[in-house]
Amino acid sequence: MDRRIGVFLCNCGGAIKNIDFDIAAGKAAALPGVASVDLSSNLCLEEGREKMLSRIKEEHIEGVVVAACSPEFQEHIFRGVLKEAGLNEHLLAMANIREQCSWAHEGDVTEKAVELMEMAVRRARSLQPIEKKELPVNKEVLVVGGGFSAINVALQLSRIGLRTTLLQEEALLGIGAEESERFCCFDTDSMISAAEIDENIEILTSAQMTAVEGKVGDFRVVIRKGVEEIIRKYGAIVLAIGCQTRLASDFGPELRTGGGAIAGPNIVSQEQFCSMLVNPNLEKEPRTICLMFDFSDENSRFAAVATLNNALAAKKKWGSEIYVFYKNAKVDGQGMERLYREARNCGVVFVKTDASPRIAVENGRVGIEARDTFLGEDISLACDVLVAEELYLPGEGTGTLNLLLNVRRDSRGFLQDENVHLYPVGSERKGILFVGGCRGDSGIGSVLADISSVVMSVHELLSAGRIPVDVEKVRADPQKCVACLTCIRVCPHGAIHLTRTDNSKEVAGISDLACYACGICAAICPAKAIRFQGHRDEEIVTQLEAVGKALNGCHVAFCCERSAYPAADLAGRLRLHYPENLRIIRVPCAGQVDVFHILKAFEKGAAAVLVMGCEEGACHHITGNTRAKERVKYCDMLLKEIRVDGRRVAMFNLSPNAPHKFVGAVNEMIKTAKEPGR
Amino acid sequence: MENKSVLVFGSGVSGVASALELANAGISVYLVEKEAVVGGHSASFCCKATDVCSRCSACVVLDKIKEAVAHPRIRVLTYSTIARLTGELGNFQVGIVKQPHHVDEQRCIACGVCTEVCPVNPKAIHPPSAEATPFSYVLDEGLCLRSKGEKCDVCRANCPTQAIEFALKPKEQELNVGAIIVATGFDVFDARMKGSLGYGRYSNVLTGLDLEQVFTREGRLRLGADGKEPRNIAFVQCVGSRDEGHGYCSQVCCKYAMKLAGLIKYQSPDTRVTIFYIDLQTAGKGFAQFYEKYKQSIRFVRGVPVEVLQTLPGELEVKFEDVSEGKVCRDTFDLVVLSVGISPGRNSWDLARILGINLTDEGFFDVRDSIGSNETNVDGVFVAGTCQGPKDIPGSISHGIAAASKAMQVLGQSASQRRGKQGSH
Amino acid sequence: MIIAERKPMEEIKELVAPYKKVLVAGCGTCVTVCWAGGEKEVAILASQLRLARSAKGNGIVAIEATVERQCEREMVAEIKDKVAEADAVLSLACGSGVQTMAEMFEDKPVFPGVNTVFIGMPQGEGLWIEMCGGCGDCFLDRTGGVCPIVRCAKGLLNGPCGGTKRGGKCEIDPDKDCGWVLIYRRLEKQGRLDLMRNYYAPKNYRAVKRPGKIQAGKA
Repeated sequence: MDRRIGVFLCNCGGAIKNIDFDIAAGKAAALPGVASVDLSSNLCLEEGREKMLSRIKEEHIEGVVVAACSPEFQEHIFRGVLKEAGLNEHLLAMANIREQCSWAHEGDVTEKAVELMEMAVRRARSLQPIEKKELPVNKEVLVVGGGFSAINVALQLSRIGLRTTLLQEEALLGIGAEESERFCCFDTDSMISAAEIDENIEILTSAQMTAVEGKVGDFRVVIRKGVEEIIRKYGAIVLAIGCQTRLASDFGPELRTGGGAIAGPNIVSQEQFCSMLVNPNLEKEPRTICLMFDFSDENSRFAAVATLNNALAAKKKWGSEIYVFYKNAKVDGQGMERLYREARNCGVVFVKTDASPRIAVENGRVGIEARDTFLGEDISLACDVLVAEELYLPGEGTGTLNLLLNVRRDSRGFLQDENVHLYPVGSERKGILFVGGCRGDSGIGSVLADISSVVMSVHELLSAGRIPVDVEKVRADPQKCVACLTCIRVCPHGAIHLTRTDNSKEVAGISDLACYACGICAAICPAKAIRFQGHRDEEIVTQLEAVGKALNGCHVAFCCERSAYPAADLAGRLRLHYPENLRIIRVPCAGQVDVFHILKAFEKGAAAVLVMGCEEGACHHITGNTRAKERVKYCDMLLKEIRVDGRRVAMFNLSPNAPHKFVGAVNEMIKTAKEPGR
Repeated sequence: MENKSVLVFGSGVSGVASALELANAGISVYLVEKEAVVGGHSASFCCKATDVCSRCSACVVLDKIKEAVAHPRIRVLTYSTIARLTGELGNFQVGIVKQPHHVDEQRCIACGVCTEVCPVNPKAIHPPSAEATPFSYVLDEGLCLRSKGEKCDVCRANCPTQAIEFALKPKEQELNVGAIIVATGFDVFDARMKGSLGYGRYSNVLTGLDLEQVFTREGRLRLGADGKEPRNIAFVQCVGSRDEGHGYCSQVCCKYAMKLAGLIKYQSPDTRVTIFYIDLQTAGKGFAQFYEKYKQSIRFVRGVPVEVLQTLPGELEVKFEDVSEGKVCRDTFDLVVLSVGISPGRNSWDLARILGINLTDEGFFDVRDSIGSNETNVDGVFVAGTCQGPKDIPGSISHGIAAASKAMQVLGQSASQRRGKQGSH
Repeated sequence: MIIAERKPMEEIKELVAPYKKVLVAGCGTCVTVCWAGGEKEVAILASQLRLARSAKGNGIVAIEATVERQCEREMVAEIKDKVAEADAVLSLACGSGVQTMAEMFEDKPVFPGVNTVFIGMPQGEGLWIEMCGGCGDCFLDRTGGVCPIVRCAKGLLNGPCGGTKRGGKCEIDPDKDCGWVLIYRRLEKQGRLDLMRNYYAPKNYRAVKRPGKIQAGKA
């Protein structure tokens, strides 16, 4: 605590006029621990930084406070100065006196600026250094799946020198890859043989992954091949297990004759129709063909590609009469509109109809009745072959795999949670990636891009053979940990495992490699055993000590640095004003805000506490904002049961580009919270 | 000399994604942008979340820009364009022209002194939009007294960081890079081209992009000087997509229209929203559920309007063919939003000529295979994002990363091949 | 593991109402694991008390301390200074922790801040279920490792009551599984269904004489 703190105040070229910098500097100098105060007008420019550097050295500064613009703006630059001065870059605390003070309020805000500085000084005194280190990683990659995406990922990874194991349940490589050949003219055979002769690719067929332990850079995978059990280690795991198709309707037994034979009424799948198309010994070419898509599934991009391609191929090969029944032409993919037009121009008849057509068997042929939207009339026709509507569904193994790997699925059961921050190919766990049909129904063009994305992600993780990490940024104190498993259950990134200490006590071990430093675990640990450097209880409480001193009553907003904090900055830039007595504490994720921190804020005099995180469904740490919401609810209950009037706590969700929502939330909250009656 | 740095031209979301991936992989990147700010179109998109995230990805773009601008291996060159290209894969010489812009973004600290002292009104020097990166002030030459022959020097003289300079000429420099990624994005279809829809004539006919900006600026749908909120809104799909001049679906319009409509319904549930469409594009991760949620509260009409007429001030009559009903109808609205599509960039022709790369019939950059990879006909020149064809934000990001991946792979290969050759001598 | 839950706030407030300085004492074992009385809960409760009392203009000093096991005299002794400082102790440990505390500091009022409810296990994040009634006469060998005393709402020893609902749920609480269905399925899996045919006489709940006492054999 006796660290020498250097305060660097910047008046931003003299433009910050509603803060009296002489008063502010004087008050800063009087704060405990402060060894020097420097006033600058261009701290972020080279000349300002040079002066800062020399002052740090001259005054033997051990912790730095920069009171200037938002840390969102220049924090990385000031960290660089600390590094250059030989200080640990984490011993920096910033007071945002521009965006969240000067610009956000009218009139003189010197008092607020001083308070923000005091918060920062207190924080700087309690911060602890974080060391950086490089940890070794296993450079081999496991690719689960044997289709188009899987083989291509393996081939591309091989090209950048990474060894892969292609693991697939089927006995032959490339099952499922024909589809891409059919629709996109890829040469699957040469792709498969390239994989087979590639030295960097090991192919394990008829094999299954049965257990996975560990984390990025060091996954331990149990593979069962027949009766044999193989244990292997990988640095990353890529899931490329594809999807499966099913007919949208089972048509009832009387309509099904099955097989690919053409005689009599025939209802076939796209796949069966494809084999008819390539069958050189077809007895009789169908004269009238009907195809269907987009009635049972809004996500019918694959189905649209398949239908259009097959219709066109049949037209070209047999010259049959072809009718395509559909509701909406799903043409939002590369080249799809062109394909749709080509099919039309070749004479394929498209029948737009809002309801799924009625199917019946009449005189040995398949009868179809539908209301043509354009004509406004019912039409009925009979065909030799009906290619039924197909649904694209998650592959069979999806459910087992996501449990095995502890990763989420989306609302339709495909791999990858519907969180935009995971797109295109990421999962919530570092080193586990998704690609291809298993992610859901996307176009083949985007699958190609996704394959390259996977390669890039794996390259960044593994190619160097080591990953730089912040050492023990988040750590469970083995002395305090009671191994209750809470953190292991709540960690959204699968970064915590039960480990043994040197004296063999079981404790929670947080992997520096897999940890994203969100702090969700620290906020829930019932033993308060997890300390998160930069956001420890001490660091937060000491800031709260300074809150509301200068003003009569204040409000505290815990703002997620990925959303609410930048939104507050934007509000400042737009000069959207809100009450001066708001104090913002920047947190890595709303999920890091502890119930205890909220209560502490009330104890220190806050009338209202706002917890502000990302929009629901868009948390960078998946569950952080929903947990925050639950905690706020719990906290509200705790307040209600002690009947403290006039204290309010609420959760707000917003995105970083929603400054109006930020200001709206703050105003609403402050309006409804009564002044503290103390 | 083998050069392993990469030039990314265009700093929209795909360019930024490319640059970031390369930089994270240890490769130096020049991120060249012709405008004053990084981010392209999508950086100004609004958040469309209702009570939950609507997955518009606008915030992802801001994340990426912030990361890229702060990245030590990325050098951002704004106001710059490619003028010349010589050399080959592994060793390109690129002539870059930087337009004069009077405010040095390296030195501007956005303090606002210049605006304060500027004697003209509206101010000739002003802050960029709030979300702009770099957040550096902009001098509007047309408004500046100097353009009228006067010798005003107030802003330059008062700038505390000496960031303003008047006597600037275009600066040329040559960059030596191993590969080039073209990520110049798209132009928004000019809705004036569809004269009968009234854009440019009626103040309450807007484009989807205009609407995005209203939300960005105001946080709500407030129009005009009086900030009135429209109560009855029509969205018109496929304006500049899937027509004679545009043989493609822009892929983004159905989604942004529905998401904006969802946002409007969320903010003011009583507002009526109608969407006129040809085919609804509802595929895509997480989108079908969004559609299901708003299917009931938004009126969907199959049929695209042919004419928009102002009958009374503030009232627009839309003439359309309701395909499902099989008749021509009229309806009045107080706001018509044209869901304009993605058009190829205006400057694509020039750039294609300079770089020697091919264009498709539609005017996008062509790639070697037809399904949208990144390789152009010139080795070492890759394309990323919507300059290759319409894409949404996640699609652009993925395509950008893919371009980075390809560039990295060829640079790695050409280096090793070079080493191989040397070994054989 | 012993599962406890915090007492209603009204009751706690009343308990400590006469006192100015209160030690909120947590325990670092069972009650920490079940989120009832570990260091975090101590901090929260202390904070609540301070807020509640200061709002009433009747300030309180809430001292916080957590020991590893409050049922161990040696461990409790570590916080004796803090106890001395306080007018009363509010213990968030299980009943035995409270009693250890009370026995060691006979001159101090020691109050329970939690209700000790059962012996159980976690069934997920923040969810615990009762597994053992502590009857002192374990017969899990005969019931496939499922204890009907606590996992059957009626504590029946010889099969289900007849009120089992569809899906093997309990008629008293349809959210809970019928204990006897669980027993049946388990024994079925093991091919030991014949055990179901045995008749067990009503249990002698006095197998352990109160107060219970165990003397471990010499090692």
